[in-house]
Amino acid sequence: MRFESIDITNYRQYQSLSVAFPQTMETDLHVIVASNGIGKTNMLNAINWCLYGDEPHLGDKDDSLTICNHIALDEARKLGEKFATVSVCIHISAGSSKITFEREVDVNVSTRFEGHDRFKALITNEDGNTDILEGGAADESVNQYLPRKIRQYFFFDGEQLHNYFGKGQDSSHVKDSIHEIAQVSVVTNTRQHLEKIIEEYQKAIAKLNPAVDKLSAAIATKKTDRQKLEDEINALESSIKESEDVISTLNQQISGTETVVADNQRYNDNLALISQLETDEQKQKALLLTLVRKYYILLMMYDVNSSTDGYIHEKFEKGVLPPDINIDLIKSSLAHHECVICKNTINAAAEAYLNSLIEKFDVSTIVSHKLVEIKNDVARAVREAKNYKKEKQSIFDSLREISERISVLSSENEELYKRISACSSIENIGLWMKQREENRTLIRINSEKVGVYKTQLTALTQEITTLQAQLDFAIEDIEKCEELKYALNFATEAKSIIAAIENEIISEVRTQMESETMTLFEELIWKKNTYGHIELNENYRLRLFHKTTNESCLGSCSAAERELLALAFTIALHRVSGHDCLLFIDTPVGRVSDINRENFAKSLITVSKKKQLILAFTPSEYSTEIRKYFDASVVSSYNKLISVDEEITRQEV
Amino acid sequence: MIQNPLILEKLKEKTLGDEVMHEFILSIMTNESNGKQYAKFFRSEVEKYSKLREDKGGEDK
Repeated sequence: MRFESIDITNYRQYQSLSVAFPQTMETDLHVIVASNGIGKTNMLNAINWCLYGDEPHLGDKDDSLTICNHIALDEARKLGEKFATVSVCIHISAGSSKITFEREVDVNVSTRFEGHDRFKALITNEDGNTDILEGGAADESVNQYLPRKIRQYFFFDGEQLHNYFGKGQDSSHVKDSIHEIAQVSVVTNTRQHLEKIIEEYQKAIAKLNPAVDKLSAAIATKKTDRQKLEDEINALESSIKESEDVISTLNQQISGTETVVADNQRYNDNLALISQLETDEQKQKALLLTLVRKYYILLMMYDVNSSTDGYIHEKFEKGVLPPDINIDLIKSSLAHHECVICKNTINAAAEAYLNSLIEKFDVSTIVSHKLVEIKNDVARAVREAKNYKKEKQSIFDSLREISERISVLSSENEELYKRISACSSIENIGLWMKQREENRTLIRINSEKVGVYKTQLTALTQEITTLQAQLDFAIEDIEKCEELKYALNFATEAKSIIAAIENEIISEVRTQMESETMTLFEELIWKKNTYGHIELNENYRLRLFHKTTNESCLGSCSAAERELLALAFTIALHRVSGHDCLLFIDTPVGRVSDINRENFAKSLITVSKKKQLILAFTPSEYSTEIRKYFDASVVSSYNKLISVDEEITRQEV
Repeated sequence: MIQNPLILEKLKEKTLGDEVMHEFILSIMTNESNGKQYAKFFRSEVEKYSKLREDKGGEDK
């Protein structure tokens, strides 16, 4: 199936545009080159609007201009017409049939209100007879050739391709679409519908034998239980695969950064320690200040006190300083010839001794007393002043030790910071490691559940087999329903064959998709010997493996690489499914740099030998590297879709 | 219409030597691929082809 031509009238930028896509024997490659804003994407919108009645590539439908070209609206108003008509016609060929899909809508020139659109399909068969289908029948006809739910696999925006395998993408939707394109869903639906017919036959037979009815009901219940178990197992296995994917992605993200978390912890611990040491340092400095204040007077007086202490000490040594004797009492005792304290009579010898004492104390008694009084204080002041040095040294030692520890920790933190700052996502690493652990736990739990469920499934399957044997035996007993039995057996046999085809096709489509996508990706990608193989899980979640390390590495691919991978995947899908339809790609290599476009050009020329390709480029995107290969193969090229002051749009070939 | 060559290959492989079964499955799959109602068509096809095979079996004997 291919597009022969498109006629667009009064649709957005296009007042009147006809684009033909003739086919040659060699290639079916068509190129549209237009600057941004001229209407490449709106051509994609026009196709979608014609076939499906919507414009999926419009930025914001609610905030966009009316679908009708505004020049056409003005012209209609000037002519006194109430409406201007927008129309898009797509002419396709499918085998020997020619089909025209046409959608029209009238837009009120005053209110710009859009009426209900009209859609029809004109199908001309090889005999030249034409059927006209309208409404739902016309929609059905579109779905036969270009099914709406898989349209993203033949009309797509290349700028969005890099998001194709994004984390947020629901891969089960990809699986459903692939099954739709590869017609696996046709096989599945056939099998399911045939099962319903088989049930009808069983019920009809059961009416003739109640035992059959009971057994059929029991089998149906068991089958429902088995289906539930299978669904549970599939969901769990899918969850396990997803957890494995998550772990693989997290491993890539965490790889080489495990120590960063420890480094970061150490860095923060060190910061806390440095802060504590700085507080200690301030405390020691405060102690030093208190010490200086405490010893200020003592130190100022140290020389005086020291010499005074020496002087007193010297006088004591020489015995110049008298003991603490009251000379007045001695003199009073001598005057009374009697001791004033003990009242004993002082004899001549004692009198002579007392007189010698009085003579001996030649210093002033007052000075002597004062010196004796301050002796201990002066000695203590001198002693304490000597402690200052010791105490000061102790504080200095503490300060030096603190300073050294701060210096060591700061140096260590400088090194740690270098390593931490080299990692751009330190705040995420801890979270990633936690997520990895959670997913490991999830895998363990789910794997245990799968084991239990599979055991139950085996038992249930055995029960169904036993019941089925009993049912077959019961049916055998009924003589009256030979004809029904024959039809039932025939349908059951067919169902088994279809189920076997379904199982094998599901597996083979996936395997072929893996190998075709890898082959095409290797042709498209400029890096050779980098990527090893591709794996698709049951839900078609894609994993790309590095050739050397054999690690999953899709997360590390650039946007351009992902774009080419998505393109490879899409083309592989068309090849594997045998789905006969065109590919229309808007901005196919927007993210791929010039030098790497050669592979793209060569690969698509090969694809265009078996499939119609319509590619819409910007002038810069349609670079020398692409033109070099395309010029010889392009069948039609619309290289200037010109919008002159937004007034009219024409084509130049 | 069944376009996927893999399905056609598998069908041929699984129904080797049983032309009636091949035709029957291809017929109901084609009906399914065209999105048409199945119930009435499937029933009539089962009856038609099972009878055909029964007759053919009788002839073979």
